[in-house]
Amino acid sequence: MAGPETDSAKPKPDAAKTSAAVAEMLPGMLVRLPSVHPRQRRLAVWRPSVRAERNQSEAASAGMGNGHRISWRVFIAFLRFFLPRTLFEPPPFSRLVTPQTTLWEWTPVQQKYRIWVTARPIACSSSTRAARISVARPIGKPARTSSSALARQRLRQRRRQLRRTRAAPMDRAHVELAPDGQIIVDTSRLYQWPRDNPATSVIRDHFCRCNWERRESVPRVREIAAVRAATERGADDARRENAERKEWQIRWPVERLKAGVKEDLESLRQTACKKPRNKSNFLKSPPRRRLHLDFRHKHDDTPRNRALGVLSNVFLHLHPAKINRDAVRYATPGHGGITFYLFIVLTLTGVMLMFYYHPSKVQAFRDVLYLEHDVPFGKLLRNMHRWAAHLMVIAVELHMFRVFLTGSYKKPREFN
Amino acid sequence: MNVGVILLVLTLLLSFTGYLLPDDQLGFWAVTVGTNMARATPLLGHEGPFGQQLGMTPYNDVRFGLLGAPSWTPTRSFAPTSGLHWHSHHRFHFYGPALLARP
Repeated sequence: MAGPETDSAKPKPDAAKTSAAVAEMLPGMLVRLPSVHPRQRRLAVWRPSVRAERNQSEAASAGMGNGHRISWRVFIAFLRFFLPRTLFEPPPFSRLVTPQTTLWEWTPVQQKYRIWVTARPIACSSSTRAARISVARPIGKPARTSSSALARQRLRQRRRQLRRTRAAPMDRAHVELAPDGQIIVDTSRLYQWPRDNPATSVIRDHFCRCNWERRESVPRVREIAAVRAATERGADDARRENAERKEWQIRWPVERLKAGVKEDLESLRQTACKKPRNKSNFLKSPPRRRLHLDFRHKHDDTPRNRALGVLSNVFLHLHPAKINRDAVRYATPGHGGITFYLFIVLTLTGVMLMFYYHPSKVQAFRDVLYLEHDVPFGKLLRNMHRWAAHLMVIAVELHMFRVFLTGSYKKPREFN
Repeated sequence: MNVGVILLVLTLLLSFTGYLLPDDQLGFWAVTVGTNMARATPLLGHEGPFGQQLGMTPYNDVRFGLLGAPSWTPTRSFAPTSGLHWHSHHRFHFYGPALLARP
């Protein structure tokens, strides 16, 4: 395939000699690769780590310093920064296996998506026990899956250890249980605080501590029973259960409203019998308003809700008493705020400068000279405008660099 | 499209037009360089297809137009865009990628 004029650079296609020849040729030259399997060729060309190691070993043997070069991946990452991220991403929506599958199928999925099921159904026949799916952060490295007995024992230990960990929302990704029993992880959606709508999600009550005692409500148990029926029993049963579940989904808010009205009446009766409380007591433990359950989610006194109360307020979130752990990992210099401040300065000084400036070919330069030499504080005004503009460009570029370094352009902030 | 990238481009446009405004030697030659660069654009300049028909000749000059509209168009679009940017920052409270493995 190659002529005799190129055969000085072309090695023989022996397996042992090929890699050595490739390692010899790769650092600087553009050569035709020997006839190897295409997959191997791609490996030889595309793997920057292999290439860097080879370069380093060769440089060390030759007595030179390490060759510094920007790897392909860094360069491509930098290019990707300027393009819409959706071009490079697989769809964020992914369906996982059912949580009832065996441990060996389940573990790699857990490792990939960092998911853990805190409690499995004890017996498949009992419909009262719900499969609680929650998403927890495993501590340390996930266990490896291998078939050896030691690994299996380690995995069992790890499972026991993980069962003790408290469930926490997984990095704010949206997790849901599909009607066919599969877990859906959607990394493009944020994790939403569970609302009291029985049709939305099975895991909604799990993080809600105050709802603990009524967590396994009747319609949800039926829902889960229907799910299990769909996976285990025949389709007819599933259809019947589904119809029942739908009926309950319609009836459930009404029932709940009725119960709420009843409870309100009860509490009214009790409070009417008691002495009237003073105002501070009333503020400490206000009476429950049941109607709110069906129209908006309750403001439970959880750490998360308290933090949200601070963070969703424009003035309080600037100097919060408590912040998310992720917010402390990067101390940003606040280039965005600097840019905003400079923009305000630019607007004010620009409006003031406009009183002295005529945008025409004849007048423009004269106006600038007049401003510089004759107008009181004109030089200061113009230089404020000028330096603020220069600093704003610098601040914006530094801001972009910071965004690139912290990866803030990634999901879910790709449109920011 | 990224709101931040739009803001960056707007900032650069604003600074460029502001640089032209005094109409001193720096501004004059900046206009000259800028218009020459715009002319050399492959499909939009006068060398591109239909350049003559669209009125883009090497002799007509946009520098008076640039001077006449003293950077108000980018300024006006800057405020709502930065508001959107700020709103989206406020929506996702902390910085950094959302799905990072924690130690």
